[in-house]
Amino acid sequence: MSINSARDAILRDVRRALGRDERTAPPLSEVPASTSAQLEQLVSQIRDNCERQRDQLIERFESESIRVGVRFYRAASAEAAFQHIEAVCKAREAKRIVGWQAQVIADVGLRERLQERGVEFLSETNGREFIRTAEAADIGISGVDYALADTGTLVLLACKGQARSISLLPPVHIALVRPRQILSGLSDLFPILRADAKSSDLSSAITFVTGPSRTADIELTLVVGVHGPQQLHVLLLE
Amino acid sequence: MHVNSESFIQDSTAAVRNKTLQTRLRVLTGFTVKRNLMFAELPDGEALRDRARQIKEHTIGNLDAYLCQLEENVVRLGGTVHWARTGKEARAIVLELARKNNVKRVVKAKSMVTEEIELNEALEQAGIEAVETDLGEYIVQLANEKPSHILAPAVHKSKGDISDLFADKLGVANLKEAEEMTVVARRRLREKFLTADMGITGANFGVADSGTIVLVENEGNIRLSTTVPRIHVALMGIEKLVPSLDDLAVFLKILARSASGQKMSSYVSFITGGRRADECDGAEEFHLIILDNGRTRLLADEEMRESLYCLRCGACLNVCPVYQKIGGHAYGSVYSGPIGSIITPAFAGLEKSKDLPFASTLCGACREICPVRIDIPRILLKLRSDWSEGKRTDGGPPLIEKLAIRLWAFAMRHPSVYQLVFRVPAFLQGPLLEDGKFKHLPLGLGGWTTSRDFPALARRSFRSMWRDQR
Amino acid sequence: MRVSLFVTCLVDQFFPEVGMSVVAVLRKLGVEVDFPAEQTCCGQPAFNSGFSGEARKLGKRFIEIFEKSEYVVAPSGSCSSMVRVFYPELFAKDPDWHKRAESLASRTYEFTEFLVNVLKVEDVGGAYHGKVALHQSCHLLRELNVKTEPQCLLRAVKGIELVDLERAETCCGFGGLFSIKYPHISGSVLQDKLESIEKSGADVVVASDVGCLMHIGGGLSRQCSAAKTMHIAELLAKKG
Repeated sequence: MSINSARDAILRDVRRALGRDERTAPPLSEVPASTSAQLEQLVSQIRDNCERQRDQLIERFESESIRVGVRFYRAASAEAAFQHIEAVCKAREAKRIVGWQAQVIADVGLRERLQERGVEFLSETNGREFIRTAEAADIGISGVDYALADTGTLVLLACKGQARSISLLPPVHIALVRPRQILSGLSDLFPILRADAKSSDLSSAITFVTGPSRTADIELTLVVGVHGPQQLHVLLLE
Repeated sequence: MHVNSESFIQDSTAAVRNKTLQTRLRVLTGFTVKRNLMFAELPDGEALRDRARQIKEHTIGNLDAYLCQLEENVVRLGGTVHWARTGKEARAIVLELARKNNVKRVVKAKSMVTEEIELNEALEQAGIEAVETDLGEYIVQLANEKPSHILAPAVHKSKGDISDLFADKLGVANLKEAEEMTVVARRRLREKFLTADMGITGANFGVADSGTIVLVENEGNIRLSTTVPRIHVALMGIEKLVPSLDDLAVFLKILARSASGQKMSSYVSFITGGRRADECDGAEEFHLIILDNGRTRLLADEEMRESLYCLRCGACLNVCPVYQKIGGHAYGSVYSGPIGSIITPAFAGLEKSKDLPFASTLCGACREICPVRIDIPRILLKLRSDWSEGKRTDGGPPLIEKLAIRLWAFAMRHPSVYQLVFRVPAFLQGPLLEDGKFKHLPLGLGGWTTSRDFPALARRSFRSMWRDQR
Repeated sequence: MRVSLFVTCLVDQFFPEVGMSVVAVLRKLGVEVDFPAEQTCCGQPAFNSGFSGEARKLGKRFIEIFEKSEYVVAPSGSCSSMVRVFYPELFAKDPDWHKRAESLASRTYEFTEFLVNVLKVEDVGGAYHGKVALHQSCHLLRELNVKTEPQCLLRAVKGIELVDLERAETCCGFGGLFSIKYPHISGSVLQDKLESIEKSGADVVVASDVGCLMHIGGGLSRQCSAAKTMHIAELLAKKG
C-alpha cells in the first residue's frame, strides 16, 4: 500500500460523500482574500481605534483581568513596577527567576536590579536545559505581544527570547504589559496577526493566557492552580 | 468504535438508582446556568451562533479542499501530516512514530478522538506508558474507568471516591479537599511531563489557511504536553476544520461560553509546526494525524451531516434531562448525551446502539442550547425511522412491536375500531381501579405504574358528550 | 369565525372535560366550533417510534378530514406541532401532499396560542382562587415557540395566585412512549419536577398537554401530594 493511499481514500470518500467529481477540488472560500493593501488599511484603522479608546480599553482590560483571577497592578513608572515585582519576589521567597529577553523587561532594569538583591534572573539558552531551568524557577516574567481587553487575555508569541516555558512552568507568572499593546478583542487581533504573518508566517506557538490555571474536575469545585501557573500577575506599565 | 450500548437498559436503571451518581450529576445544571448568563451578556450571541453554523456548513461542504490546504500549510511550516482511514490505522501510525523515536512515556491531553480509537490500550500493549494529564482524565485512568462527560470526565466521582483512589493508587492518604488532591496530582504529573518523550493531543480546530492546530483548555496540561516532550502528535477528526483565523474568532467567542460558562478558557494554544530552529522549547517534531473513522459516512448522509458541526462543548449533555439522570457511562460509548445518541449509531452501527436514539423525550433542550444549532431531535427521529422501518437484514424492532403499531394504526384509521379500543377497557376497568385510578397496569405497561398512578378512562368520551350537547 | 376542534385522542378518551372547556371558552368569545367526528389520532406515536409509513397514512387521513376548516385548534402542544411542524416534513418528498400539509399547518394552532395570537385575547373572563404553577410543555415551547402566551392568559384570571415553578421549562420526563419504554428514566426525571412543584407551594399545576399532566398527575397522586393537575383550558373555563 502506497504511503498516500489513506489520503487518497479519505479525499475520495469526502468527495463522494459531497456528491462531487472524485478528482477535482472546488475553489476555496466564498470570500475573496483581502489584498495586502486592504489588510494594511484595516490594521491601520484598528490601531487608530485602539489609540482613541486607550483609556476605556485599559479600564476594560483591568476589570476583565481581575474577573478571571489576575492580580492586577498599574505601575505609573518603571520604578513602581520594579518595587511591585520585588514585593512579589519577597512574598514568594523567590531565589530564581526566568524571563523573556524583551524590551519592557530591560526598561524596568529587572535583570540587574534583581541580581543586586540576590535573585537570579535567567534568560534562555539553546538546548533542552532551559526547560529544566524554568522548572526550577520560582517565578517566570514575560512581556506580552498583545492583550485583549474584552476578556482580560494576554497574547504571547513563542520565538527566540520568548520561550514558552517561562509563562508555563514556574508556579507564578508575572506579565508586563504596555498600554499600546491592548486591543479590544479577537476581531482586532486576528487581522493584525495576519498582517504580521504575511511576511513571516505565524509563530510556532501563540498562547492566549486568561487568568491562572484552573480546574473543576473534582465535584465541580473550582481549584485555581493546576498544571500551569497558580498565580498570574499583570503589571500595566503606563 | 467499540461500544457497550447493548446493556443500556440495565446500565441506565442502575444509574438512576445510584444515589451517589444522582448527587454528583445535579451539579451539572450549574454549567447551564453560567452558559445562559454568558450568552445573555453577548450583544450578538444569536448572530454568532448563526455565523458559526454557516462557517461549519461551508467548510464541511468543501471539506476536501480545506483538508488539502491544511496539509499544505502544516507541511510548509515543518510539520508532518498523516492520514488514517480507521482507528486501527491511526493507532498504527502513533505506534510507529513511538517505535522510530524510542518513546517510552507519553503524556496525553484530554481528547475524545484518542478515546474513540482506544489509543491508550494500544500504547500500553506496546509497553509504552501513556499518562492522562487532564485532572479528570488522570482520575478516571487511576480508577481504570472511562470518562463520563466531555468536559468533566470524573464528574461521576465524589471527593470521597477520589480521596480513596489517591490513597490506594498514589499512596497519599487522608486528602479531604479538592485543592489538596490537585496539588498532589500536579506534583506527580509534573514529573511525567518532564520525562515524557511524546505528547499526544487532539485538536479543537484546524485552521486551513495557516496550518494551525488550536487547542483549548483550563489546566495547562496541553501547553505542557506540547512544550516539553520532543514530539507532539495531534489527532484530528476531518470535521474539525475552519477556513481561517477570522472564522476561528467566531468559534472562540462562543465555545468557552457554551462549554463552561467562561468568556474564554484559561489557555488557547495555536500550534503551527514544531519549534523553529532558534527556539529552546516546544516540540521539535509536530505530527498531525487526520482521521476519518466513520466521519465520511456521516458526511454522505445529508440528514446526519450537521452532526459533524459539533464543537464537543458538552452543553447538550448538561441540559439533557436524560443525561442528568443516567450520566455518561450508561450510554456505553465514548460519546454520550444527545450528541452521543446520534453519532454513536453512525460510528458503531444502530444494531449495537439501538436504545440510544429512543431514550429521549425529544424535549429539544439540546437543540436550543447547541452553539451551532444542530437539530438533534430531528436526527433522533431519522435514526428511529432507520431502525423501525429500515430495510435491514441485521436488526430491527421485534415482530411484536411492528405488529402492535400496525394494529394500533389500523384502529386509528377506523373510528369504530378506535372507539372499541378505548370504550371496552373503559367499560371493564372498574374492578381494576383503586381510588379511581390504576395502581397497576397490565399487558406490559406496568413500567408506568412502578412510580406513577395511571388515570382511569373517562366514563364518557368527549365525542359522546359532544353528540349530546348539539 | 369558525374553528374545527381537533380534540386529540387522549383528551377524547381520558379527559373529555378538557375538550368541553375549550368549546366553552371559544364559544364565550364568539367563535363557532365544530367537531369533525371522523377524527381519531394525528399519528404522532407512530412517527415518534420511527414508523413514518404508518404516520403518513394517518397524516393523509387527518389532512383530508380537516383541510376544509378555516382554523384547527387543539388543546395540545405536541399534537399541534405534529400537524404544524412534522406533517410538512413527513410529506417533503410528495409535492402534492406537501402542499396540502403546509396549507393545513398554516391554519392549525394550539389552544392558548390561538387565543392570544389569533383572537388577540388575554382575558377570557375566567376566575379561579388558588396557587397555580405553570409547567411549560416541551413541544409547545420549542417546536411551536409558544413561550409567554399561557402565562398571559393565566395572569388575567381573577383571584389567581401564579407561583414560580423552578425549572418550569425543563422536560417532565413523559416523552410519549418513552414513559413506557424507559420508565425508570421517565420516573427519575419526574421526581425533579415533583420536587419543584412541592417547593412552589402550588395547589394546581397546569400545562397545555394532557400527556405531561397524566405523567405529573400520576406522580403527585402516587405520592399522595395535595397538589393536583389541571389542563389550562379547564382552568380558563372556570368561573370561580
